[in-house]
Amino acid sequence: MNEKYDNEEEIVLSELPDDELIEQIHDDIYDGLDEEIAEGTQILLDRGWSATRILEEALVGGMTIVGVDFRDGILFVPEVLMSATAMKAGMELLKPILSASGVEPIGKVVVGTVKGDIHDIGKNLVGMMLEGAGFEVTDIGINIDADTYINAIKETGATILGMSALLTTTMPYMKVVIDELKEQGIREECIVLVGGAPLNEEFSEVIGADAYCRDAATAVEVAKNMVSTAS
Amino acid sequence: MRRGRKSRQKSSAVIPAVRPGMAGGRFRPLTSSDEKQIHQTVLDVLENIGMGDPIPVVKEHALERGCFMNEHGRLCFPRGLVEDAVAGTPKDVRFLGRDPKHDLELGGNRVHTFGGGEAVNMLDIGASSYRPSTLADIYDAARLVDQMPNIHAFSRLVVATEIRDQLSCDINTTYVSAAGTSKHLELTFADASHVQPTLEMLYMIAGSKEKYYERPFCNGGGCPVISPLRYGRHNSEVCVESIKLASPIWIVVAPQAGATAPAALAGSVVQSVAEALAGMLMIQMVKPGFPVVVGPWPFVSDLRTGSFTGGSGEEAVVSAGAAQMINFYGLPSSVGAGMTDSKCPDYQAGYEKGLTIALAAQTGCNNVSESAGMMGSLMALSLESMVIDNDLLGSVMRTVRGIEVNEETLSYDVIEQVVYGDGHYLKNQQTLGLMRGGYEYPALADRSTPEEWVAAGSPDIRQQAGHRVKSLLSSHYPNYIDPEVDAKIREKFPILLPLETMMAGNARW
Repeated sequence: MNEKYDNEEEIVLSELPDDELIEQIHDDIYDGLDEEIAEGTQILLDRGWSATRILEEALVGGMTIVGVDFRDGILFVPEVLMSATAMKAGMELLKPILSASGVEPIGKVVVGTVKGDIHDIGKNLVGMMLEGAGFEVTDIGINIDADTYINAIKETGATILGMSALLTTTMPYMKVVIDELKEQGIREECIVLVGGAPLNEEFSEVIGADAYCRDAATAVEVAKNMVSTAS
Repeated sequence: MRRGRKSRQKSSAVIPAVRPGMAGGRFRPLTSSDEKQIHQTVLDVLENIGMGDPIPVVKEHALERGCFMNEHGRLCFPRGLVEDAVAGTPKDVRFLGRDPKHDLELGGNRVHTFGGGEAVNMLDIGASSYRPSTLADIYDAARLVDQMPNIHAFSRLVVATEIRDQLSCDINTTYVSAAGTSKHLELTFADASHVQPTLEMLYMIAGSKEKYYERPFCNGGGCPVISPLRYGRHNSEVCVESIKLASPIWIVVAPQAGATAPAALAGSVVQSVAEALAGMLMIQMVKPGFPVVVGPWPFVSDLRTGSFTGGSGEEAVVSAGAAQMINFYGLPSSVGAGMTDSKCPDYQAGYEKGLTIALAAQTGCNNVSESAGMMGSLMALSLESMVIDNDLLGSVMRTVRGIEVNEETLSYDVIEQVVYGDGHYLKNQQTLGLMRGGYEYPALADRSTPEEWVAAGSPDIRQQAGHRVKSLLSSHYPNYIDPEVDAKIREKFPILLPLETMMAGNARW
């Protein structure tokens, strides 16, 4: 990944002016270069940029381009995963600063794959893409029962719950979780997004979810829209 | 003796052009050297990388038999043990029907076409969107399969999505399947604890426990592996418990190339074969010599979106390769084919189904599964598609039958007779003898002239299929479950399909 071609000039990130560095970070996120992203993020911090500004202009900006090209079929799933991983390398540096200064993410999300189901590739992708869009994501893993979902929501203060299922036999469990949210009187405090290959909009409506997201890019768009209308 | 037309028709009608279990094996996407390399790599994987998360009963038996846990806590199978287990697993197994005329002999290169994908949607006749599938749909699908000569057994093609209780769902699914067809039933269970209560009902359907075991017409199984190379607890338990059904365990694994299996097709064959053998080994550790059907189903990802694509050229060739490997072991084989990505029975569905099914069948796969009715990458069932697919399967099976070459069929004498005689073959004895049994005639494919087609209102095959489904389903209400027994079953089990919806004149048909 770090191969430089003979005819290509060596790029020294620390020598780039701010605007070019931001552009370079966008390119490096696009190319999924995690070490470069960590380096670029650190340089901006050293130059006195606020963590919020770095997050928005450099990292989320880069992932937005990735999201658009994924939606348009230019980037493939493995490339998006690499971009998300690269962005994460920058986030690792920003996270402690952001939380110390009390900056709130644009939304807090809990994602997990429902009880009985351990197929989690799609869910992982959604989690990473949401992080890429500036959400704080708590991934509670696979085979999750209603209590675990609800405890995670309470502990993190999440306002979005994302549930996934790949199996036709496990997808009905999503309704169990939603019913439990209602039972505990916290359904209204929480946006419920569902996804997974066998699902569709109709199913999402029937079980009382807020939206069905057919892929990771859609999940990000829906989450952003819902958060902005909610606030 | 008078040799009338009627007797000739009668005698030729009993020998159809195609039948279940004709021998394939002429198509081999892998060379012998490829087979050996894949085999060695499979053994390396099972011996060194092993399987994660074995259920306790399997782990216990496996360790006793010489398996070991590696430093990552994974269950590893020494190559000698794998080869012994392959040798000790039955090579020829039977799927019995309620009716013996539907008995299937799986093994060798014998090709059978049946099975389906537990979809959650139906594409109704003429519809352009899906709706959630129900219990009645399973019953109707069973009645249709009952009348489809080229669909050789029945499995849960769709899920009764309206039934929330999983035990009730499994029992009801089994009930409507047995009510709809006398072909062999391939069952799946959401939980191992559902096997015994379902069996209790099967005993009643068969007449008694003894009668069920005289002719065990159901088998169980499923997907006991989470790719890559990890046992899934629920389905492992279901597979082991399904031994009680006294019929081969159907093991299927579906790693998806590029996502849960290597993107390189050879690697995806390696992993899917290793995982399918791991499923087979699981049964052999618990019950040595118990019959299994081994199904490596290497799925393919469309890496632009990450979604599964069942209709691609990659899917066709990688599935054929996987079937070839299981046949190389001499074990009863299964792969998925016909899993079109098209949402309705159209040109895309036709070419994707035709290509994938033909290659799997030509490879000699014993169970070309998912091959009838499935739409939208296994997301829906279309009964229109099912009757079209029955034609497709007949056509594919005709190619599997191939060209019989012998002195008689080489036809030197016939050619000589005709050239010196009538000048055409239409009246020749050979033509009369072969015109029925030697040729497969589709029920739906349009072979009319363009003028006839226009005169009929220029119908397309989907319209014709819709008519055929309606005609077949409005009249065929079999009595496979004795009414007295049915009443007793309804007393004991929560059967959710009312009797009046299982007879002519119901609201559906």
